[in-house]
Amino acid sequence: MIQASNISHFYGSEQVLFDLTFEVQSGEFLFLSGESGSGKSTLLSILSTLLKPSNGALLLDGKAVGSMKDMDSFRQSNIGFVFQFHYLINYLSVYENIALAAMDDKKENINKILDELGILELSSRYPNEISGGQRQRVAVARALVNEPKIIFADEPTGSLDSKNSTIVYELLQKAQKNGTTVVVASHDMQIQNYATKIIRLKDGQIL
Amino acid sequence: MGLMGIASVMSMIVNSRKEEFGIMRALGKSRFFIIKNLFFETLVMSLSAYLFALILSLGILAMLPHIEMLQGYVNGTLSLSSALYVLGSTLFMALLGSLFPAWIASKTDPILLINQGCA
Ligand SMILES: Nc1ncnc2c1ncn2[C@@H]1O[C@H](COP(=O)(O)OP(=O)(O)OP(=O)(O)O)[C@@H](O)[C@H]1O
Ligand SMILES: [Mg+2]
Repeated sequence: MIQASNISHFYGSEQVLFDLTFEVQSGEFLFLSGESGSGKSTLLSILSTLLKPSNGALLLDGKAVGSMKDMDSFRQSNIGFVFQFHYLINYLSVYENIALAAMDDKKENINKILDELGILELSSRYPNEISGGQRQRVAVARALVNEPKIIFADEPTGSLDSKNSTIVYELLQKAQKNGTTVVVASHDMQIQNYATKIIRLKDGQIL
Repeated sequence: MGLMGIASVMSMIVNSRKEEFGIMRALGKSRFFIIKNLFFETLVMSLSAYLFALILSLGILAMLPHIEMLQGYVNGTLSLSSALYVLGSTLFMALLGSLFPAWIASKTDPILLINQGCA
């Protein structure tokens, strides 16, 4: 469960999020929608503990982010990310990129997920040897590998055709059906078909 | 001079890898994990550079007496103590140059490291 209360954020003196308060129950599929520049990525970074909000409090599974001591291992075991840009590590192969993220007892999932995403045969290639859409699928695989409690995805299908987008959404939905909370920020209205909850942002405020 | 150069080259290398550190933090790798890896990388890198330079200079010193032209102008020896001094200061500056910026980076929000990296 995600509980956000009175979250505001400033970049320098420019305020981009205004006093946001909301809850997302475990097992929901949240669609974060809004125009470009409305603050989706910023909010997603805050919810996923990658950015400290200027003001406000965030509870993940009832635990206060910010006062947590072992933030890093909490992230590894509870949170999966797909970034707006893919952010793979260039000197590691596809398989190694995912293995870097995987906890020891989850490494056996790697090949199964690569297979589901149709990129198993690429596992020994390097990120600069595969297409943008394939990189995006690797990033999705990396987010799923630890079977996290919450998955955050920022435009996870930005460079995918509709067939591969559907594969990604279905994988996210499958995780959600298994109890994972899924939060997706996107321009793609197709996600409405999968979402159980929608938050619309405009100029840093919830509509 | 040379020593400052080592430190600044190392910190440039580390700065260019901020994005990578941000990704690792996002994946749940600890600050300690990242700094420990960097420590060993720096150690291996500067030790091999040192050995290379040492062999090269010993080679040159061995050749000097045989070059007619230079006789009476240049001669040199390398004492153990100065070799050790160079080793110590090289390692110190390399580690300082790489670990200090890494330590600063480890205090930054991961997403900012990631975005800085691609800028
Ligand atoms: N690192 C930063 N420094 C300063 N301003 C920023 C930074 N990141 C984002 N902004 C500003 O904050 C606002 C919200 O940006 P954000 O990236 O959250 O929007 P978004 O909804 O994700 O947009 P998009 O759909 O284009 O990805 C924008 O006005 C943007 O210019
Ligand atoms: Mg965005």
